[in-house]
Amino acid sequence: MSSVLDPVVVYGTLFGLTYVLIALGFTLLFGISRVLNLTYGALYMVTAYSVYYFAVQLGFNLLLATALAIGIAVVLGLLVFLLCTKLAPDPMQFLIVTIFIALLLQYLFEYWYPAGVELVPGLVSTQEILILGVSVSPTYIAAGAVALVLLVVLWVWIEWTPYGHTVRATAEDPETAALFGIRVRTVYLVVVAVSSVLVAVAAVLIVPAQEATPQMWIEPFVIAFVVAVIGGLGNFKWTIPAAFMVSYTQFAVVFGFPQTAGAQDIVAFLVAIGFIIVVPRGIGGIGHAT
Amino acid sequence: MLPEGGPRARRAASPLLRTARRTVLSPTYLFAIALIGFVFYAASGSPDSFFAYSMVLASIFITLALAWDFSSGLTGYLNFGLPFFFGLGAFGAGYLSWHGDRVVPELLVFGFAVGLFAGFLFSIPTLRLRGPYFSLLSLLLPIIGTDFVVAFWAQLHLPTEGYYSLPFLYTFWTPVVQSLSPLHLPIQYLATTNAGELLLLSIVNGVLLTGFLLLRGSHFGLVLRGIRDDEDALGSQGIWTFPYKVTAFTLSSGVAAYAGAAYATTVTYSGVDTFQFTFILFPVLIVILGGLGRLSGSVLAGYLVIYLYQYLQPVFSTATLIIFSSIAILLVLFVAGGLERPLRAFIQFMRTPEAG
Amino acid sequence: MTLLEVAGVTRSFGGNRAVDDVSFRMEVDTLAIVGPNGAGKTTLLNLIAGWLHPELGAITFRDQDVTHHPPWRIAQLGMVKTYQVVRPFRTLTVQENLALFGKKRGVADLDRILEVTGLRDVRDHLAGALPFGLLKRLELAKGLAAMPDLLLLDEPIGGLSRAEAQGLVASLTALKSSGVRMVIVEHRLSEILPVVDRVVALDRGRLIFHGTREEFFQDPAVRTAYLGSSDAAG
Repeated sequence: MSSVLDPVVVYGTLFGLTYVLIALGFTLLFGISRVLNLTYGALYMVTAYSVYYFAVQLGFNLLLATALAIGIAVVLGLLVFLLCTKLAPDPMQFLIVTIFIALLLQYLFEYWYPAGVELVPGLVSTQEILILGVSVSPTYIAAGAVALVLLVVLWVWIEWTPYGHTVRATAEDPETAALFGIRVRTVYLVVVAVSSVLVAVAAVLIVPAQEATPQMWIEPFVIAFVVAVIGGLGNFKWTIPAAFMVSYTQFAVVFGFPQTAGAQDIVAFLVAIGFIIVVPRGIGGIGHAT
Repeated sequence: MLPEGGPRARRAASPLLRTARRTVLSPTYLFAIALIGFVFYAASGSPDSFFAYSMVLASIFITLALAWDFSSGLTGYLNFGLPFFFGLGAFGAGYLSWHGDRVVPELLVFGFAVGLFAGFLFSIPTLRLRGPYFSLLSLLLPIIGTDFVVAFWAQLHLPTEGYYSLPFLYTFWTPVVQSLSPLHLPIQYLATTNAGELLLLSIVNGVLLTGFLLLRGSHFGLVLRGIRDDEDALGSQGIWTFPYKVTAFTLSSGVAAYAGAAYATTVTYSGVDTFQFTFILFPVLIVILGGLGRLSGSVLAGYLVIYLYQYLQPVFSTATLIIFSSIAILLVLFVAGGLERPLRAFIQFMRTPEAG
Repeated sequence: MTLLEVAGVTRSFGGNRAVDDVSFRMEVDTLAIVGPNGAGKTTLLNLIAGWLHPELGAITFRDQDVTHHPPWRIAQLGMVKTYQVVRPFRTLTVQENLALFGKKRGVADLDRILEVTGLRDVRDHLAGALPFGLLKRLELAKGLAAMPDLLLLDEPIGGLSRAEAQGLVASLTALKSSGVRMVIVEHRLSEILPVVDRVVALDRGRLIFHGTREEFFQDPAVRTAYLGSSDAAG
């Protein structure tokens, strides 16, 4: 039993931390705008390719390449947000535009990288380390560590700093926040930037473990929707346990039933559907329609 | 309570008849039907040409657009899972054809049925959630489809990552042509060329358009539109919206799957590429261009968009999709009402007499 | 048969008891629920209509327990609530707004509703284009189209000018005489009084008065709540 459980625990925890980044970024974004933004996933993909472009194609230092890539993601996220809120205020229009943008980016990268798959270099050497009897690549451990640090920083910011409180209040109730004189527009921009950073960092951390493809903009949503279904979007409390639930389940399937490799998304999807059927209102209350 | 309606009420025409009359006599509907007929007529002049094939492809996308517009366009619940049902229909047709000698009608009906069933199964848990959650879940469906086939095609005894050797769609007309041969009508080409495929697809599109418009004009359609405006307000006055949504999306999934089966028989292959997001990009683009929720507009928009794509594709190859997604973005951002408003403004402008 | 019975209904939000052990019965008379701001009137109405569920107590409509029914089921049973902040279906015409709910009714009945609520001339206008006064009338008309046995009106004249309010109250009076039963939550008591028979008064979630319209103005508890005075005389 423990021979299967150990890798699940180790990998599930390490990857779970990065999933939390993705889930939190998305929750923040949805919480404040109440509209789905499908370019969030595209930022994930763009960051991965940007790292490749700067580090491999241009030969920059890896850390510099990473920083530039994250910067690009933030700029792109802000640009899309500004453009779309100005020109497509209707939620339906907004959602449609964001998927078109995500597809545009997919096609763009399919055009630039017709070979399709590029391996994005990891940030550390690839000599494996033993944890709980499981040999793990240092890339994953570093990923987990960075994610943890970032999460702590984020938590401290939201819980303990005045501006963090402002952000949280605005995310929960923009109208009332505006009444109190909070510049809601500015807060929105900050949230967009922060969530872009979160998803970009997640890309930088996870992607070396996998391969970059232009279609990967969907990946963050696999995590996001399970989290949404379990805890509801805009509900921070359940975001973290839900993100771990996804990663543990995925790795349980991968290690328990090796022949199903490549079907993690299906598993996540079925978990989510099963959840809705059993707990229709979700644990956190997911906006059950009449 | 308020008194019952008197003799006046009983003499009023039945609502169904009134809706039917209103639908059929609407100029946009008549234009769309005439256009469908005209396109077929034009294509039958050169039945195997590039134009004819483009119109075949366009017709399939129009079917998808109609299905999407009827469900998502009316209710506001944006369904991005359309490619999944499209692919499901294609694979259903492929499966049936691979395991026996099948004629086209069987494949199309089977595809439709598979789509209905899958659509119903998917709708039940997901349509209890609000719009954004539903959209997010539907986004995952095409990926599920692709992953499933790629991961399990060997276990499922597929010949490759898909089925091949499906019968051609135009063989639908073979029995008809044969039984009418004593009359010596010049209709042989229907059973052997793209024009024949176009005829079948056009007839179905005409029927679908009519059916969807009738539904849209009925109380059922009114509720769907009400859902887009204010779903809770419907509830507070006694309407449980869930069965309406499920019906609309089940229907739409069935139609999308039929389109997939039809597509598979035009290319005689059903593969993983039928789950691509291209099969949501173009239908939504067509619907936006034709007017969200308007249905009839998708016909003209469909022919235009796909013909343009077919025309540009040899020139720009893989960059064509980049062009079209850019056009789609610009369209949504700047021309929210589709072509209708600028077109009307243009007509108005042309009609205005010169000053002075 | 008692049309509506509210028994011991309690509902809190956080630590605050919005509705506190409220009980009353309603038969045929038009009932007004009044009270100062924050008294719990709208919460009580939402509880009755099924948008909220009470923590304690029960709500019975025509001898059926509807305490935990979803709102659409309660509306189908015959108790329909209209909104204080109007919620028209903006992309539909006035006629279509009513046709949504008039499934059991023929065309003639919708005509009558349009007539009584003064909307006949705008029946083919888009609801989204109507001025506020007509939207309030549309809200009432929608409620009627659902063929309710009991209509719950949440501030039907809220935001209307004096003249507009008079017109709407006249419509309510006409409806009342044709047999429509109503519960009206309203702030602007004096203007709604002509159509009201009985009054339930709330103060800070508790029921402080239930009686006829005439008795209402004499009641000492009511005077204290509204006027802050312990003077029991007229």
